[in-house]
Amino acid sequence: MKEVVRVEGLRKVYGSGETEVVALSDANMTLREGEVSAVLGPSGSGKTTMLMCLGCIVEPTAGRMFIGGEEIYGDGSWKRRDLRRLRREKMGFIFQSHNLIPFLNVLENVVIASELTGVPRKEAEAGAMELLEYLEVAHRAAKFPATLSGGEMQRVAIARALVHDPSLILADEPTAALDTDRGKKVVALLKNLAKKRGVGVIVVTHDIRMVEGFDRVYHMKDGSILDE
Amino acid sequence: MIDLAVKDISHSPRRFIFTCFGIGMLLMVVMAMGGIYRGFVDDATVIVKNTGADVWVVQKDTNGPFAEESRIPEDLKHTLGVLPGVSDTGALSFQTIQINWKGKPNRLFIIGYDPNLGLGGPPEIIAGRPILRRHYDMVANFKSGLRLGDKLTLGQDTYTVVGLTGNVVSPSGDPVIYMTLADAQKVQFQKNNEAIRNDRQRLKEELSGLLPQGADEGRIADALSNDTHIVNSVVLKVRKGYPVSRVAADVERWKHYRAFTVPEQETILTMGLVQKAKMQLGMFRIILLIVSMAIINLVIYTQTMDKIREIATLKLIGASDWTIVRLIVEQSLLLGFFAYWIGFAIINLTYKYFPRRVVLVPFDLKALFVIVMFICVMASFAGVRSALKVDPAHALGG
Ligand SMILES: Nc1ncnc2c1ncn2[C@@H]1O[C@H](COP(=O)(O)OP(=O)(O)O)[C@@H](O)[C@H]1O
Ligand SMILES: [Mg+2]
Repeated sequence: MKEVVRVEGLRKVYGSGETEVVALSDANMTLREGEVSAVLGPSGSGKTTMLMCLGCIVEPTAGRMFIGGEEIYGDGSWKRRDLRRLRREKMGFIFQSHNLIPFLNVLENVVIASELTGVPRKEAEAGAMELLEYLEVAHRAAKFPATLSGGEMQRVAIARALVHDPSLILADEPTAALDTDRGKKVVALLKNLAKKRGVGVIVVTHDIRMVEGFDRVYHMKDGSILDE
Repeated sequence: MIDLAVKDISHSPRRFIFTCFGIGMLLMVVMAMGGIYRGFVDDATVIVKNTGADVWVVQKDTNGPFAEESRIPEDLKHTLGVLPGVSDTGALSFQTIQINWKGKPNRLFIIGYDPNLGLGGPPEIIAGRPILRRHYDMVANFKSGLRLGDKLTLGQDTYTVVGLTGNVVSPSGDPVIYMTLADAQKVQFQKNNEAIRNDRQRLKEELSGLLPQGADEGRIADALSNDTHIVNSVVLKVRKGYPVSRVAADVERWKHYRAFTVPEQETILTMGLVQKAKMQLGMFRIILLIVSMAIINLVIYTQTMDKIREIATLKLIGASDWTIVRLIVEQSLLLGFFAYWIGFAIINLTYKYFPRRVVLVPFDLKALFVIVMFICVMASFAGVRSALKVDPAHALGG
């Protein structure tokens, strides 16, 4: 399967001197299309930091990073603008607290991710509706996020992360705000969709009950990946 | 692209609407002040325009008759009337009075004119009749508070409003009433009986040492103290095709009076009388615009700070800086846009009821619109700056 993101010897240090925190040290990881991986670890172990590095949101302090086989950061020719483009075209994000835009309705929340990549409105709406239907929230299309239940919001967030056909989905504690049953359903949905569409998925969680059936599970502790 | 600015505002419009109205009020005052200034300029020159003269003759070395006191003999109207090029004349007196009218002080501006001459009377009669009798007739500005048939006692005589004319006002905005020159001179120059007696007595005493034996001091004093044949200005109409400046130059050279052409007189009025008002109103307008800018700045900044998380999320999912900047600047422009039209609507509904004439000039309003839009862009800088600084990682944190 095609490699999407690969990191080698990744290190991330926050702050400096007295307040220095090593959030990530010597982490290696490869994410491939259609493969679902999970990162499991206690709070503060560096999972979110790992995800932000993989998602090109924060720049690692040291280590190498490859996207689609091409090294980024290496010679400093990658600009913030390029990273943004990479994120909006190749990646989809799902957050712990869903982070839907409160002043956009459900459909618009999904459409915008597609429109950001230059897809015309009509097409974006058709794609969004299709996904919302698949995720069984199409009947909420005209509602604002504040009126939805937690499970519905997370399904809308999944639709937003998928609508622009990314090659990688990064999910940070997507089930933290849900009860176990709903959480499991959301994870299963994510996995099915990823397989169906050939998207790479990485889910970060501290909840061991959520990590059944993943292709790979990375365990993290104090900024290091212990094993697979 | 989905219009994020509009979506945000329409989702929670309260703050936006309130601010629009607040700024709208401020802009309305800015428009009013501009209109009042234009009104000042209009008022300042309305008499000059209405008189229809080409040359204003006043006392030598003065900027009369409005900006400075000017007193010249009435009979100049005859001497100047025969100058080459002069086709018509008028002899005018001007005086501001304040009367107590129906329990309220009412400032009026009396213009005395000679109905036998062509120039200086009311521009039109919109009700009643023109002045026909030599005495005790008045024609009043219809906005003066006086109505047809009203009687007004000035000095020792009572005058009747026989006609109404349009909105003619003095250079300082007081409504005009027209009288015959003879009546106006009486009002202006004739003293009451006690004053006359005192003056005559004093003159008699002063003359007694100067005059030769046997002279009738009483009669001479009488003649001296009772001369009311004075006017403030004589105005001239110049025959078509004859150069106005030549007539003015002739008057100054041969007659030792000051002569202004209409543009000169208008310059005196607008520069002298209106300049200070212009500066003052201009300053207030600038202050109000700065206040508006500060308010817009604050509101847009707050709006932006309330959206930090959404902005971080948008950046995280790959929105460009331009998308974020547009969201903020567009809101600022929309705020200014609606505020402007609210102000515009209010001033158009109310300008008639201002105590001073408000003249809304389309150019002024258009210029203000451009300025407001510019101010909005400036005012959004603080919001834009903090929005651009937002770290997309903020969307993931807790
Ligand atoms: N922006 C930051 N500045 C300083 N320290 C940070 C920052 N973000 C995370 N950390 C620290 O890095 C470590 C790893 O955090 P994080 O990646 O959020 O772990 P997790 O997601 O597994 O809870 C923690 O000790 C946290 O306090
Ligand atoms: Mg975390």
